Amino acid sequence: MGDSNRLTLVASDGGKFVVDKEVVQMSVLLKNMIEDLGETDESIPIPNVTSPVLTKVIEFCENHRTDAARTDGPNVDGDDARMRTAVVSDWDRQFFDVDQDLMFEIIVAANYLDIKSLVDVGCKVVADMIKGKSPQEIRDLFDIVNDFSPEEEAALRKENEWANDR
Amino acid sequence: MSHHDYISNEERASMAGLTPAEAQALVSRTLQAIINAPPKRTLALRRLYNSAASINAKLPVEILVQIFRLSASADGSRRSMFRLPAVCHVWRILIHDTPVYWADCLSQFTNISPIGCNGKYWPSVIVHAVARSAPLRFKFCLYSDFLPALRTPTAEAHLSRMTAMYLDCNIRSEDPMRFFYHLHLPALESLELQVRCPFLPSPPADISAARFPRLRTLKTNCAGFPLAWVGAPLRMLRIGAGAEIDTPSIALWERCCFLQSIPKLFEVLRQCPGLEVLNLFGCLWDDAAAVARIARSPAPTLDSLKALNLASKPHVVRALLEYLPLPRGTSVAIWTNSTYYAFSECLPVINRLEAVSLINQVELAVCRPRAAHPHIVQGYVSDDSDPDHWSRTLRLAVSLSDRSTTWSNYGFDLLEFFQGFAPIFSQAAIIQLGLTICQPRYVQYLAQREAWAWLLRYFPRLTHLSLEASTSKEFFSALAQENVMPELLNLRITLVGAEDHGRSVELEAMVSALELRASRGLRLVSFEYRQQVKRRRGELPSTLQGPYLERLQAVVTKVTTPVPCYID
Repeated sequence: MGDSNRLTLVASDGGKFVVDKEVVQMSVLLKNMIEDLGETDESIPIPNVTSPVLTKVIEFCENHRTDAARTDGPNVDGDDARMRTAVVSDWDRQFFDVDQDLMFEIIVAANYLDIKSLVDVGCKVVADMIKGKSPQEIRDLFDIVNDFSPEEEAALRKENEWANDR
Repeated sequence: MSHHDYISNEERASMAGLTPAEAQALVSRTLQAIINAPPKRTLALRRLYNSAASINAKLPVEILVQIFRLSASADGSRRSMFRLPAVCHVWRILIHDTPVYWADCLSQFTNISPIGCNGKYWPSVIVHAVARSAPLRFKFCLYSDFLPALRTPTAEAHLSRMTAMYLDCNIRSEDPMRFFYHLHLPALESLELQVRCPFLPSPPADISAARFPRLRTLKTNCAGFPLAWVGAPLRMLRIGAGAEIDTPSIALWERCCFLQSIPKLFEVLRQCPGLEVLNLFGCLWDDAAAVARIARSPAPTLDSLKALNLASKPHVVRALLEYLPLPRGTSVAIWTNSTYYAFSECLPVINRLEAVSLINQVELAVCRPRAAHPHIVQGYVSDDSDPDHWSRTLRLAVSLSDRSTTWSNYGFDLLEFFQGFAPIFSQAAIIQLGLTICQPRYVQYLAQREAWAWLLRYFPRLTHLSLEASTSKEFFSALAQENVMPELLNLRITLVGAEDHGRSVELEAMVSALELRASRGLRLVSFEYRQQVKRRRGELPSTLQGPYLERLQAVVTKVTTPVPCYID
């Protein structure tokens, strides 16, 4: 019989992670699974999340374990207010200082595992990356090209006049 | 090489039997299709490239939308609204199909400060956002010169969703208001209107509540034409100055015009029997003949009224309160200019406020919160279900601006002041009293000993008393007299700016008085002694201890002496 306070998560590539139950309970999905399974030695497969991503997700949960209680309470102000008021700490920014592919995969994993604080922080970090940039700068940032039709270009020219109206 | 090498047999066959003109038209269409093909293919390839971009390929739509909303609101500029839809086709489609994104933009640009036509295209921007924000409800904060923009077919189609409007018509332009007079906003629940009606065109004869059938809140500085919109759904009516008034003088300055008469007001109020909050700030005509006409007009029935706030001259306030019947639990707040000893000037002689008989707590502040607004008397009803009486409801507040005592070197007669406010309340009902007596510069308090002796005898049933003042010597001298507050159990004293050289005299008066009362069998259950010093006005005194504390503990069940602290 293993430690009843810990459990094993199995990533999609087979990587195994032994973590405190308290930590993973930041994930609403895992919390519900733990409650459904009760006391068990069985490991929990996370089929949509690879080892590198799961490593980062667990790192975030470990660091924010004292915030975990906040996800348990009723969502009084709604998702919008929560997301707008989410605080991105220096640690969080450092945490997301990774390549874009990994950053998006972390957000997707957080969304799948239902870890609201990680989704909120991830969205805010990406929004901050976009903030203040021109459309071309945003394209350059995310490796996107201009793919507008002539009709859309005409509409954009009009909107550009509106936006620069004094 | 002949041209036959590039034309297929099928194409040649399709031209068989056509007239020359028809054949040319067919070739022309084929040619145009070939000319257009490369850009379309390029476009398709570009879109394919973008769909494989990491941000688009990996993030689900709902996450992308959240990022867009956060980014647009973080920028806080008009440009941000159009920046993201200009990045790529997928983002543009997604944002155009996200009403909440446009609702965010609208709330950002129309809720905080009024928008006007300060730019050539600005109305187009807002109308564009309104059109895309469907089906959410929205509110507008406008200058009147923006009103014509709402006249476009696109905007008009969405006006039925507008629920709140703040409209500033102080711009002296007639045409926009003409449009407003005819505006029909079926969902409008809240309208705040700032106007200077003498500069506006006359409203049409048929202006009526039907234009705003759901109006629950009407706030206007004009006591004229906007009152035509009052109807049965109305719950809150404010006429005159805004909520942040300090004195009746400010209220008079901010209002647009006077109500024609009190009977006219009563006529308006009869149309909204469900009214819960009524604020009349500086809009009541104070001519004696106009006031006298109140008695002759049938009073409205306002059974749901919870709060009545008035700013006017004392005789007008009193006349209104005498003839406007109020439900028992209505909270009344009055701002008025008056002499400091005549609080009762503004309270009704006949038809006394029933709310007063419910009040069992009184708080009195002299020279609070600011010099131009020195005297505030507030009466509360405590919640009986709360054993500690922490829950309470304000039932009467009287704020008096009495500049003469604040700005002169004359003394402030505490006795006249106490005798002015105390008769407002029911002697037998008051069990808690809180007093804050500031020490304004250059002002001497007169008749202190007599004042305290009178006050402490006036409310014989007091069980809780709290005093914040710069000295308590005269207070304790009065408390030591016989037959004063026999039911007092809890006392809290806060000395502000107590200086060391007078401290021993203060303490001796305090401890002796409580010892004397105890010897008569009038022991306190709790006594709190707190010392505060204004920042930069001296050193903090030491916490009460030694013989004085021991003597207090001998005659009071529980003594609390918090550590002295600074206050701002």
